[in-house]
Amino acid sequence: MYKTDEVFADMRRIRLQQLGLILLGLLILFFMIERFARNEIKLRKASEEKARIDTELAVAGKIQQEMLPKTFPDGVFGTVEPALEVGGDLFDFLKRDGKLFFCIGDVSGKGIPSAMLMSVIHSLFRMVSMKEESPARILGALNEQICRGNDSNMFVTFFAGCLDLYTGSLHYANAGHDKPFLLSDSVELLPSKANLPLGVFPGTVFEEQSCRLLPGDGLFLYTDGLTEAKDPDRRQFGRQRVQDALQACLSDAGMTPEHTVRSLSAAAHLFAGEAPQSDDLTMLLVRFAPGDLVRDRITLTSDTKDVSRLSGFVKDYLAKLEVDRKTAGGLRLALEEAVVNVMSYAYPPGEAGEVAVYADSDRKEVRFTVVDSGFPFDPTAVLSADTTLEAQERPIGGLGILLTRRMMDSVSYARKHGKNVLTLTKSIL
Amino acid sequence: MTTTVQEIDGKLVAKLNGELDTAAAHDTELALQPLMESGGKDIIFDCSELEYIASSGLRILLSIRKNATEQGSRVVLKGVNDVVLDVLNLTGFISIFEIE
Repeated sequence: MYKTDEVFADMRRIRLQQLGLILLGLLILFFMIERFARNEIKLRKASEEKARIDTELAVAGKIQQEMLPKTFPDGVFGTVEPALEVGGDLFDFLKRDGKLFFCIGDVSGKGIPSAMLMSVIHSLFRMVSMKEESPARILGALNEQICRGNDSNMFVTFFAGCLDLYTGSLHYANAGHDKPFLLSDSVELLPSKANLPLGVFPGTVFEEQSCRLLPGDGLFLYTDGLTEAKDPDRRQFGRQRVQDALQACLSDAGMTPEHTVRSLSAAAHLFAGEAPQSDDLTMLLVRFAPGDLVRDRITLTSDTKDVSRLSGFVKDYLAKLEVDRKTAGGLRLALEEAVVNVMSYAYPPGEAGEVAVYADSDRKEVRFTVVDSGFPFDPTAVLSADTTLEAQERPIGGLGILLTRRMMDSVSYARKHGKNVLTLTKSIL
Repeated sequence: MTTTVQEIDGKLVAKLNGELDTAAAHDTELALQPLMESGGKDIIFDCSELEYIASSGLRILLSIRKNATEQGSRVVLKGVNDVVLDVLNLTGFISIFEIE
């Protein structure tokens, strides 16, 4: 028999133990809840942060896309399809002096770091090609800028070209980029020396090459996102498939540059199937598609009496283009002033020289090119006359270049092969 | 380009006929030489038959204008067509000549 007291004491002890256990359980439960809540907050913060970064990336990607050309003149089309939100690929082009300057590039790596460099290169190309005409020197200028402070050793493969839209003359230089395809009677790789990519060594000299496109010929430029597009078995699309697809486009006479680029993109995506896009895919097609060209040239002596021959030449030429009387007057004046300037100052007094004038037009724009082999002289660097002075203060002179500038849309000077080359353009639409 | 200078009603009237480009500038300048001795008489340029003018032509007009001011003569351009007027506008010459 147990004593009642002992029984009660045992029961109390057991109850206390139970109570302790319950308390311990509650404590553990509370601790778990607290940890869970804390994690939940952390997680929510992280996902908010991620959403913010995603939004910013999407905005950055949008800004980057917006910097690239969206409208295209006849004969040009390009696209960039970034693999991530932002990309390291770029293409661009700009038209000046009746010439099309264009480029394509691929910055090493992917994502934000290469996107930042891509944006810098894009603006550099715009700035440099506004002034510089030689693709090799454009690459040189870009290279110097990229090499400066490039501690992360990024580099860029880049191809730049300049196509004369009246003559088809193509100058180009390649900084380690994939060789473009030349679309002529057949599809061939454009012979181009690779050179080093941009950003590798300061002082790199890039080799320039040239050829002449015939009307209808084109140049297809792309980044390795096209040739290295992979199918689910990790096989690459490859250069041969690109060439075959281009050949198929070439056989279809109705293919515009846009159709061709889009069909190449479709072919690459079809090949890749379900496999995710691993690299940025960029394509640019430039076609030499001169309209109804009207071209003429004349060679004058440096004697100002020859201006009457120039006047006759310009009048006949502009009559062929059916330019209205007032525009024709302005064009004739602009050219006369530019040519008289050369006649008067390019050659030493008493020494006869020559001035050649080339006139080109697609009936939308007129381009005059004035070429002489006299002293290096850039008339665009000369200050124009001050047109606000009173009669007595007006100097006799300085009016010629002013008139040329005001009458034309653009006037630019280059020293090429020991010659002064002055290019004047004006829209006649 | 033909250039004639006549005195009509006490005024020197120079008729510019044709295109005053750089090739024509030298002969035109010689033909206009009498205007340098205006002696206070007003100078009228009849530009109604002037189809074109280049900066070399403007220079001739400017030197006559400067000289005339010293001799107390007015210089008036009459019958200027739109092409020539454009050039006068672009060069600011519009403000240093009287245009009628």
